[in-house]
Amino acid sequence: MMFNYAITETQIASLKDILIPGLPDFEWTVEYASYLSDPTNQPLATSVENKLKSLFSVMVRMSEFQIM
Amino acid sequence: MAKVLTGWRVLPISNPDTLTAQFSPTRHSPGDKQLSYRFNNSIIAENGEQEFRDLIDVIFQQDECARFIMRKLYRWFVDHDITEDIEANIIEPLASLIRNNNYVIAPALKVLFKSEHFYQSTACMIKSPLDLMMSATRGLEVIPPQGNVEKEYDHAYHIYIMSADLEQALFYHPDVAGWKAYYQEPQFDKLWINNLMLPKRHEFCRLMVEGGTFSYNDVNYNITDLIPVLTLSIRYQRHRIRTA
Repeated sequence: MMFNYAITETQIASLKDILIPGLPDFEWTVEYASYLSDPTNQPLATSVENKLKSLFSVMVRMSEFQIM
Repeated sequence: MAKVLTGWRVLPISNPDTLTAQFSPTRHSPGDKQLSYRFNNSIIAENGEQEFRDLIDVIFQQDECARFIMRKLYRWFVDHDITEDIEANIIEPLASLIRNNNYVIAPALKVLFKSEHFYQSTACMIKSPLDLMMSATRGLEVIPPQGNVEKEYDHAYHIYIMSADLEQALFYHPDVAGWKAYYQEPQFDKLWINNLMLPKRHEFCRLMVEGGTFSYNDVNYNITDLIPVLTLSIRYQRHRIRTA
């Protein structure tokens, strides 16, 4: 959806590292699931939002985003 | 060739009819005109005001004419890199198709669009500044501010200013041919990126996500972090589930 050409496994791994630095994948699943079940929880929403923001911020700056 | 076109004048700019070209026979160079070897040394007979029509006919008699049109179409629709192979196997057959159809272009385009080659889609382009800003907003399904004219205007204006700063100011193309990246050989779309523009492109994309300020022509603009990241990611999840 963001990129018109597939990105590599290494790139996906480093993107994961930006979303949840040093943590295993399930940490995100858990945090995001708890946000979805309780979207009114403000501190949780902010935490999820900041993580996503930094992820997207990096994604739009990747070279793959410059081509179509 | 220049002699053929002699006699055509433009009225002074103060005349309301200035946009209509006028033919003045006394300014016309009389006699037959011989063209260069590029046009097979063909001769255009004296025909006064109608001579330019004869010239156009001579131009269209050249095989190169159809090839030229076909190359333009190929560059626009497929890829700007016309190799010898493409020249021989795609441009040339389609050019002769154009010629055989008496310069009706549609049949050749139909063949091109139905060809396997067209769907191979090997060409990859650098996004133009507008494409880039659109990917960073519409592409991320950003919803422009609703119900507040000022904010709505600012949102669109910021996108405009950013692409203007990236050298694609909408409605202010540098000349009649448009932006160089669309036609300038041999670089084409690569012209959008240089060592000044690349950091700027990154910065503007980041601003669209994170918000912040940027300045253009000594004016500062405030970008709010427009992307409702959470709404987006929920939609993205749905999209993934749908496509999975």
